[in-house]
Amino acid sequence: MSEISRENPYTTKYDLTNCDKEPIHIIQTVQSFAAILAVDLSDWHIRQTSSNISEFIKKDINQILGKPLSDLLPNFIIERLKNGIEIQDFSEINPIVLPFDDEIAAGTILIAHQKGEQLIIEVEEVEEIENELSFLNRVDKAILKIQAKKEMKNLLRTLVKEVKGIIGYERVMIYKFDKDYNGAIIAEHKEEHLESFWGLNYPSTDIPKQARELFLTNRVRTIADVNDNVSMIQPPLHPVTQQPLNVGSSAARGVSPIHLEYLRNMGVRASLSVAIVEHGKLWGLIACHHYSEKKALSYRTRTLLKFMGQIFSGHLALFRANEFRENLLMKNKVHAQIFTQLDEHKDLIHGLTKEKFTILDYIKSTGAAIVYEDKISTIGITPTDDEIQKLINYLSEHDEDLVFSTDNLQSIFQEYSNLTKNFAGLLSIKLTADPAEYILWFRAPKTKEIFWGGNPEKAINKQNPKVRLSPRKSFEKWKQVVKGSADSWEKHEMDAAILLRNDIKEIFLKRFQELKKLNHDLKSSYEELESFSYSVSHDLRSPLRAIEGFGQILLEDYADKLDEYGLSVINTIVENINRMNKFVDDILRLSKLAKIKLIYNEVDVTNMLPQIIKDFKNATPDYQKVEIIIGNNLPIIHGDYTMIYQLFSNLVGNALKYSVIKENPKVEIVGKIENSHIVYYVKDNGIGMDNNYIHKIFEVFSRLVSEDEFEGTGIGLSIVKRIIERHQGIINVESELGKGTTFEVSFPKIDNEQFAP
Amino acid sequence: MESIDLLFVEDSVNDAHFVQRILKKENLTEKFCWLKNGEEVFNYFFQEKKPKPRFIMLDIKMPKVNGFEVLEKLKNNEQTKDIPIIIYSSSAQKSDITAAYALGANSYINKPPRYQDMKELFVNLFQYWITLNKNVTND
Repeated sequence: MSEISRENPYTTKYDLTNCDKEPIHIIQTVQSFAAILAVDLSDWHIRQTSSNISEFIKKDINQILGKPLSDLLPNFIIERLKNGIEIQDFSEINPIVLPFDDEIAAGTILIAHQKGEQLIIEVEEVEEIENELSFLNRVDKAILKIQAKKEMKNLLRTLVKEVKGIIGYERVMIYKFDKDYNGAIIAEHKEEHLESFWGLNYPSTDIPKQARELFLTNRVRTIADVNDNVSMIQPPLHPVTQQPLNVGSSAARGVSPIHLEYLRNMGVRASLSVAIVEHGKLWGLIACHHYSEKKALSYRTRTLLKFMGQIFSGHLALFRANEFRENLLMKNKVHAQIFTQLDEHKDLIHGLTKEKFTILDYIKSTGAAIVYEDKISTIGITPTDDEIQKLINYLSEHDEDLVFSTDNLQSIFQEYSNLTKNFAGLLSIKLTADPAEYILWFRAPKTKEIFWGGNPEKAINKQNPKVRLSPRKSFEKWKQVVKGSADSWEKHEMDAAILLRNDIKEIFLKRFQELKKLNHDLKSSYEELESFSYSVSHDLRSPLRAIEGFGQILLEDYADKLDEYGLSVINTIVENINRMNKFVDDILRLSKLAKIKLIYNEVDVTNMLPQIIKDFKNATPDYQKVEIIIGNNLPIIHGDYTMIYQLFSNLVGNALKYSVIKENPKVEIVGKIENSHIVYYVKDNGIGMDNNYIHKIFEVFSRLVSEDEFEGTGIGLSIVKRIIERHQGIINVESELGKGTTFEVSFPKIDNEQFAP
Repeated sequence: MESIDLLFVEDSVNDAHFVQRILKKENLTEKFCWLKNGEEVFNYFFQEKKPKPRFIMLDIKMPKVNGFEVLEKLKNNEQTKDIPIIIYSSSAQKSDITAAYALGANSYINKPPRYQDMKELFVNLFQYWITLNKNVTND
C-alpha cells in the first residue's frame, strides 16, 4: 500500500496490483455459517475463538477463551483430535459429529486441521440432505456423464450442467486462466432470466495472486452470504505470540472487503468456487453464483465438490495427454502426406500449397508464405508481398539461425504498424541464405476483441490515490480492441517446422542429384547420338562415293555403248546417290542441333542474306530469275550464328525452290521488332501448300510434294523448327495452294545485359 | 633414285581406284605410289628407303596405324619432315582439322562426294603442289 503512495499517481498505471498484498489468510472475520476455535497444541487450551461461537456451543465466550478444550468437548473427541495430530492427517477424522446435548445442537460437526502450533477447529451445523444415498448416486451418475464426453467443449458443458443440478446455484461457470492469469468464462449453465457471462474476459487482478495460491491448498471456497453478519476473531492476536490467526485453511474464513464489493457489484449473494488444478498449477475454477438468497453448502457437499474438482482435474490431464497424442499422430500424418506431395510434385509451391494437405494444415496458422526462386507465394491470410519482403530482409540480416519465432511481432517491428496490427505471430524456417528463401507462418493476434466484464480502467479510484483501490464498479459489456500477442508457437510446432525444412532440403538434394544425373545422361546420350550420327553418316559416305564414282565412270566410258534407256538408268543411279548424300548431310546437321550450348551473338541478318542467296544462285543458275526483295532495317537477332544461318538458308532455299517454276517468281524477306520479339517473314509466291496437310511440314522426312517434282530430303523444316525451339522462338506458316507461302519466325528480344559475362 | 610426284595413302580400294583413274585420265602424272595403310608407309620410307614424293595425300581413318600417327611420325623424322602432307579425308570434324594442323599437316581437304568434283580437285591439287609448289631438293 505504501509503495503505491510513493509513486506518481498521474503517470502510474493502475491495475489493482496492490490487491496482491492484502493478507487474506489472516483476515480477522469469520463467516456466520461456522465458528472457529484455535487451540494451542502446547497445552490444549483454547486461545482464540470467533465471536459467534456461542451460537454453536451454548456457552459464554468467557467460558471458552483460555479454557482447556476438554471443558468443551468429550474426551473421546479429544483423543481423536490428538490422534489426528499424531498421524498428521485429519482426512479420516473429519468431520467429527458432536454428540448433542443442552449446549450443542444435534448435527453439529467439527472440522479440524493443524496450523503451525495450533489446532484450528471449525464448528458447523450439518445441512440436512434428504436422501444421502440418492444424492451420492446422483453425483456418481454426473461424474460418469462428464467423463463420457469426448470433446472438451461437451465435457465442460456437461460439467457445469451437472454441478448446477447437484448444488442448485443459479449460475455455474467454468472460469479458465490464461498464461498471465487473466480469466475467461468458457462454459456456463444458468437460470434463464440471468444475463449470460459466457465469453467474458476478466483481468488477472480479479482473482489476486494470493487468492489463487490459496486455491491450490484449499480447493473449495465458499462465500455463503455477501451481506453476512460476520463475527470477529477474539482476541485478534494470540495472547502470547501476538500473531493474527492463520485462517487460510478455514472454510469459514471471512471475505476480503474488496472481494465483497466485487461480488455485490455483480449482484451476487453467495458464491462457491472449486479449483481445477493441472500439473500443480491453477487451470481454472468451477465458479458458482447465487443471486436470490444466501447459500451455504454443508461440509459433506463441499467435500464432494472438491472430489469432483479433483476428478475433473485428472480427467483434464488425461484429456490433454490424449489431445497431445492425437495432435502428434495427426501431425505425423500430415507430415507424411506433405512429404509425399513434395516428392511427387516437381514444384515446391505446388506440393506445399495446392494439394490435399497444405502447410497451413501442418502448422496451425492463419496464413503462410513461401519465398522461393525469386517469388513470394502465399496461402491463407498473409501480409502484403512488400511487407513480407521487409520481414525477409530483417531475417536475412539479423538472424543466423534456421528457425525464427515470435508471438509478438510488434516488439520487433515497431515501425511496421500496419503489419503488426493484423499479424502478431511469425514462425519462419530458412531454406537457403543466398538467395534468401524462407517459409513463413503467420498468426493473427489472439484477442482482436476482448469482451471484458466491465471496464478494467474504471477500477481505479482516481480521486484519492492514497485510498485503497476499489474494484470495478461497472459490469457492462465493454468491447476493447486489444493488439495482443498471438498464440505462442509451441515446441512441437517449431520442431515440425525444422522437420519440414530438413525434408525440403532432402528433396532438393535428391532432385538435384537426379537432375545432375539426368543432365549427365542426357549429355552423354546426345554425345552418343552425335557420334553415332557422325559415324553413320561418315560410314555411309564411303560406299556412296564409290557408287556415284563408278556410275560416273560408266557414263564416261560407256556412254556411246548405251542406249537411251541405259543412260537414263545410270543417271538415275547417280542422282539417287546425290540425294542420299544430302540426306546424310541433313541428318548430321539435325543431330548437331541437339548440342546443349548455344553460342549467343548479335547476328546481323543484313549481311547474311545476300551471301545465302548468292550461294543458291551460283549452285542453281535457274534461280537467277527469281526476284529477291530484302527489307530495310533488318533487326539483329540474338542467337547462334551458325544455326541462324542454317535457318535462313533452309527457308530461303525452299522459297526459291518452290517459286522458281512460277511466271514471275518472287522471294521477299522482311524483319521487324514487335513487342519484345524480333519477327522475320520469308515470303514466296510459289506453289503454296494444301492447308489440310500443312501441319505435317515440320515433321522429319515429311514432305507434301514428291521427289520427281521437287528435290529435297524433308528434313530442312525439321531443322528450322529445332533451331527455333533452341532459341525459345515461335514459327508460323501461312499458305495458299497455288498462290504462295509465308513463313513467320520470331525470336525473343534479349537485353544486352544478359550478354554480360 | 627417282622421285615420284604423289604418294597417296588410302585404305579404300574404290577411292584408290578413282584417284588412279583420274591421275591417268587427266594426264596428271604417272609417277605415283599408292599405299594401303600406315605400316606400308613406314616400310616405304624407313625400311625400303624408297624415293621421296613431291607431296603426300593421307587419309585419316585407316586400319592398324591411322593417318595421324603417320603424320606425326613423318613430321618428326629428319628425312621426311619437309614433305608436304595433305590430309585427304571424308571427315569435316573440327577436332580432326585441329589435330591435323597441330601435328604439322600442310593442308586439309575433304573428299568430295561426287566424282566430277574429285576430278576438278585433283587437277587443282596438281596445279598447286606440282606446278607451283617448290620442294626441298638434294642438290
